[in-house]
Amino acid sequence: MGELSFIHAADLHLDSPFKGLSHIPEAVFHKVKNSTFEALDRLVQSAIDKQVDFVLLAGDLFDNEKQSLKAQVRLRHAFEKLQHHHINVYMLHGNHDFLSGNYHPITYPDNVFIFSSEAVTHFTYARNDETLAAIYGFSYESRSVTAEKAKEYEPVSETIPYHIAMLHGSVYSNTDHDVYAPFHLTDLTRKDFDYWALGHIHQREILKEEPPVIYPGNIQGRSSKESGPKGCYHVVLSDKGMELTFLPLHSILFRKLSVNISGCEEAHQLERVILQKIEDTKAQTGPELVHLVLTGVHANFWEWKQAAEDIVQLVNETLMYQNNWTYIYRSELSRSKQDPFGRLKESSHFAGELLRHADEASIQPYLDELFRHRQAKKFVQAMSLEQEQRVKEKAKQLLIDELLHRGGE
Amino acid sequence: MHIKSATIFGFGKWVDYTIDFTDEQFICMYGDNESGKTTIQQFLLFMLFGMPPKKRAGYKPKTSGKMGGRLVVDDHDAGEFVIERMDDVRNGKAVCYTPDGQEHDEMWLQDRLQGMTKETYQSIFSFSAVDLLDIRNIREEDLGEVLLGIGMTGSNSIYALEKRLDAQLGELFKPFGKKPEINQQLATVDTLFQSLQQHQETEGAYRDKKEAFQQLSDELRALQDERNEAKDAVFRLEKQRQALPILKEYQHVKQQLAMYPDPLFFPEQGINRFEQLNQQVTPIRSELSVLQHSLDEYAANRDAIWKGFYDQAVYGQLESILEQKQQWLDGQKELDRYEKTIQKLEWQMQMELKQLDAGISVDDLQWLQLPFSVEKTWNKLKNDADQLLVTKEQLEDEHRQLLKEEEYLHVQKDKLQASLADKEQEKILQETVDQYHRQQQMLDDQGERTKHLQQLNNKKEKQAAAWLASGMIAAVIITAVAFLADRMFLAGMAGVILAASIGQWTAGKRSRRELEQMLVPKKHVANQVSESEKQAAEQNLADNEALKQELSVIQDKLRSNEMAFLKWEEKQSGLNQREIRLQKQITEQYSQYPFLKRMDTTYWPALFHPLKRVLDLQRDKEQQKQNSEQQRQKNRCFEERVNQFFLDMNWETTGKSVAEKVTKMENVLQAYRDGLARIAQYDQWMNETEAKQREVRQKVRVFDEEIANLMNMAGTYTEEAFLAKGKQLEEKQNYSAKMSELGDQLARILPGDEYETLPVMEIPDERTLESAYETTSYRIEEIEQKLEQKRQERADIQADLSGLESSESYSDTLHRYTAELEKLENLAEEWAVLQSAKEMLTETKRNYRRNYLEQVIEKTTRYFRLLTGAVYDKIYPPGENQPFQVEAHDGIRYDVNELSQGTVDQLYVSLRLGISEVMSQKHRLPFIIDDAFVHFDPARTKRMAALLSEVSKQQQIILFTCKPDVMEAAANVIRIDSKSFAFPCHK
Repeated sequence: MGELSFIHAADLHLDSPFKGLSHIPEAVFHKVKNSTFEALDRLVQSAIDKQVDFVLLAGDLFDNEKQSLKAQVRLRHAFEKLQHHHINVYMLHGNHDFLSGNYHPITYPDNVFIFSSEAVTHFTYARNDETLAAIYGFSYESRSVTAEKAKEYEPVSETIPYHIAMLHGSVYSNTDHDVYAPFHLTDLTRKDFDYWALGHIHQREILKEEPPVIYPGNIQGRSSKESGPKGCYHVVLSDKGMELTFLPLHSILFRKLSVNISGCEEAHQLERVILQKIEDTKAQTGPELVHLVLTGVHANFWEWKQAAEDIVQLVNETLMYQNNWTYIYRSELSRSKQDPFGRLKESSHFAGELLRHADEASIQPYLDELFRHRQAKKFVQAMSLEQEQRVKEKAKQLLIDELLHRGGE
Repeated sequence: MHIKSATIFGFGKWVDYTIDFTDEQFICMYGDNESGKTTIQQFLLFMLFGMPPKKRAGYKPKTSGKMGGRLVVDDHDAGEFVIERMDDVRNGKAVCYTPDGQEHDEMWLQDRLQGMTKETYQSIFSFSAVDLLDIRNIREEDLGEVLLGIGMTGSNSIYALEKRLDAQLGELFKPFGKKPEINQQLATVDTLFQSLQQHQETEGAYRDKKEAFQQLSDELRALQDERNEAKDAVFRLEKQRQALPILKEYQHVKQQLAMYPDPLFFPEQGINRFEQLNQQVTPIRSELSVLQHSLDEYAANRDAIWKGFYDQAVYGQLESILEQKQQWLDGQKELDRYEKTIQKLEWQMQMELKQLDAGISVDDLQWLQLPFSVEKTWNKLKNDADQLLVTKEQLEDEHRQLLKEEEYLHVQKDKLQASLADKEQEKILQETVDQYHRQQQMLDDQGERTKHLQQLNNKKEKQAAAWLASGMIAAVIITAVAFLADRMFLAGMAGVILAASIGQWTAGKRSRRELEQMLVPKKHVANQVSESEKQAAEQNLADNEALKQELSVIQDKLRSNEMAFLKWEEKQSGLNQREIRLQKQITEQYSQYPFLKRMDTTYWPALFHPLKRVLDLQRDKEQQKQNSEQQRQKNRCFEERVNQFFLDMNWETTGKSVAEKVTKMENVLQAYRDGLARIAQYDQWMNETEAKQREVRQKVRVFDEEIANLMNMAGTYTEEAFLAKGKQLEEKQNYSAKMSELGDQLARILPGDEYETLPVMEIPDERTLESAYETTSYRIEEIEQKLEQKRQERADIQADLSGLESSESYSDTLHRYTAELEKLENLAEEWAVLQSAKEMLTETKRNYRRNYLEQVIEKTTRYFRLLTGAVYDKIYPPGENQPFQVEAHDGIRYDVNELSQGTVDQLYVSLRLGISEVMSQKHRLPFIIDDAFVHFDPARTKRMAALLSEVSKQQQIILFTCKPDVMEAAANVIRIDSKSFAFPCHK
């Protein structure tokens, strides 16, 4: 039984736009725009460097809704490069790049094997005329697959040394994501597969070690929610067992950074503290987008808030022109968790009245001016309850802040 | 909440000052102006709500380092607790101590104050005379504002907030605006959206283009196939066209071939064989005829030869004559030779004689005899004469010599005699030396010399004997030779030799005699001389002796010279005799051979031999002449016969030499002989030729049989017919070969499948072919054009596809659009927040007014009636364009402007109290009033005090005043004096 090595990646979401980065400068925008491709290039390079047998791509390579030809062309280039190095690619389509979706008729090279139906099928991989592995999988034909596809996986032959299953879906318990091709972990472990190459969940996770059931996560974070190193797994299977190595591929690192500024007496000290903190915690390679949270402010919140905004701008100007740039794309001052309105809400004075009224009021009617605006309604989505609630809270906060803290100005 | 006591550690002018508010609800703080009332008020506010550092700095006491204080408070919920603030502790933040010993911070305190801020507190629970001025101008909205202002933060704050919100909203969005941010963002997003749509459509076209590309590729392939087919067709047509002439010829040949009989019997290689046979037989036949011809010729030639011959007898005669021819010829030759020899001898003789130049002619020779002795005689004479001459000369020389010698010796003798020493002296010396020498040498000298001389003598004797013997032997030999060789002069020579040897021997004898004389021993002189004498004498003697010796020698020589003269004279006489004898002999010879006279005797011996030779020659010549004559006789006999034959034959003889005649005869005979030989030759040839003819005829018969055989096989009887049939066969074969050759050519030209159909192929019409070719060519051109067009189209699409593939427009726009859309959403949310805030504020304001105005007016009316002593019953809140109105108990309504200042103050106080009552149902914070009653008259002041006293049952009221009447009206008064402690004083 020879050694088998491959790379397992998923959720490439090539060329799909980022979230929460509406205010970034042009240079960063370009870098961000290209980051998924850079991550793809790194994936290819890793595969070549590690001389793997093949690459598994477990779905969501791109987004049908925002399909760009570039994404597919670049993907083809990547595949061609792999072909040049005799590396096969086994890929399937997930809920974002489902088969019936909107994608361009790009022909991939012969080293690419695509699971082209919703039924579980398999390919065999042979090296030097010796069949080494069977790779199983299915593709999403439409946007959602709710069947318990995991139960349909069956190893075909005992003579093949390795059986690798690819599955784009989520565990039943997962509530963050739509439940696609849902499975229980036991559905997977019951079968005699050597490796479960999962996709769909962007957060990297090893659900189980024996046998390995793994979400590699996406290869490039695309919003503040997808922070931390992103990449793929390099897997080596042999009769001695499995070697599993995470290879970071991200081109840009999303990072949430908490800085306690209670030690600062004056606003100008903030810059040094923030810079120091960024310096101390920076990953050694590559640019990063930082979500900065400043904690430890008790009094004079508004003064600090204003100052913090200015300082962040200064810090960005300092860091964003470096080679391994860092850009703070979002910053906030955290407030104490205590209900700021507590007693005030009960008081009979205006603020109390205001708070009580706000709780009852529906803000929807207030917003017709914009949300029903002929031009705006094309682009501005009606608010979700969640958003509505957030807006209301923000409005309340604003009013109370303005009335109570800035009233005297 | 109730303030029980306040302790000032330091605040403004107050240091370590404690105010005990006791448990009273209504307390009047009385003090003059500048007594520190306001400072105390500020201290209370500072204690309750804190104070910014800057403001705090203004109240730093000048006399103390401490700033801060303590407030003991009794709270409805929390009970009694202490609030402590120090300027330098926690930045002036409060520390609260509850009775249970716990310590609490500012937040806790704020909770106790139920979020009340200093501003709110001031607006609700405190007022001063200054505030009273505003009420005259209060209108409906103003009252709302005032209410809000009183109820919360003061009307200005809310108003300002509303304004700010409006401004912010206006900056963000206007439904019909363009400049506000959202409007702009909308435009941006819209533009991007359009652009995105466009790019999406463009990229959407990718699929179509790709399909079009595929379709074009298919079409291209089809067209290519079509073109290839057409090209193939053209190719075939071209080949057919090319093959057409050959094809035609092929058909023609095929037809021709059909005309020949199919099985055509003819021997294999018949013509060839036939011709070969003919070829082989022809030379044989010609040989035969040549042979016949030769035979005829030979016969003719032979006969011709026979005819040319003479009669047989003639040839016999010729033969007999000619047999002698050789003899004759030899004779002729001999004659010639004789003649030549004679001539030669004559010439030789002449030459010899000439050379001799002895005056002898040839004729002289005839009688000249020269016997053998002559030579010897001549030789002897010559030698004698020579010898005589030599001796004569010798003697002359000798004579001369002797004369010269004599002369010389005389001279020498004289010379020596002159120089010779004294004879006496010399004698003595000589004696001395001699004496000595004699002693020494006498003996040795003697023996040795004798011995020596003896030897010499013996030797000379032997030599003389030898000379004599040898001379005699030589003379005998030479004489013998002379006789043998008949040379007489040699005999003479022998005589000479003999004489010489005798002479020698004689001379030897004489010298021996001399020697023998010398051998006679000499006598000795006896004289003794000493050694030294001897040496001196010897020296002198040696010199003298030498001279003497010389002289004696010369004297000896002179004697010998004389002797020699004697001898010479003797010799001279001998010579003269010999001369006479010789001359006699010579004269004898002259008479015998007169020609010798012309010659010196010396040359005589030399003349003998040449002369002898000439004489021999003369003898030879005579002999030759004799032989020649004999030979000539013989030849003349042969010539006679020849001439006779010529006459017999009657041949031409004139002018012809015998040799010529003989030659002619020989020719005739030779011609006869040759003719006979040739006839024999011809006979032999004829025999051979006939034999050969027979042989050749046999060969010819074999060939004839074979030819007949061939004819038979071909079924023909004549050669012509045979050849014709052979030619026919050759033609048929040619056609057949041609056909197969053409077939090969066609196979090369025509495509395989078409070639297969050759046997049945219809010959296409040339014009049809041409037309089909052109049509197809044109078609190819058309297809090519189409192909080019399609290719171009496909290339264009390819370029489009590449463009699309490399284009980032859509991707770029998408990212940009998403970002801008998000920005728009963010702005929209921002706007929504502001809008919601504004709307909520507005609504709350409206509700607030609506909810509280009624209560406030009711409470206000009650207080107002109390304060005015029931002069006014009702209060109407401000309406539209109308200020506050009050209704007197007589029912008359007054505008607030129409009221006196005092009444307005009362109204205001009532309003504040009313509001406070409504508002503070929950709060019940102490009410602080600062000299609000300056315009009140004493009655009103009393009523006011009573009212406040009643109000204070609900909440603590602290009244600051500088007016004594107010102080008097109040129940509990604390006098404020900075120099003393303040105590509550009870009346």
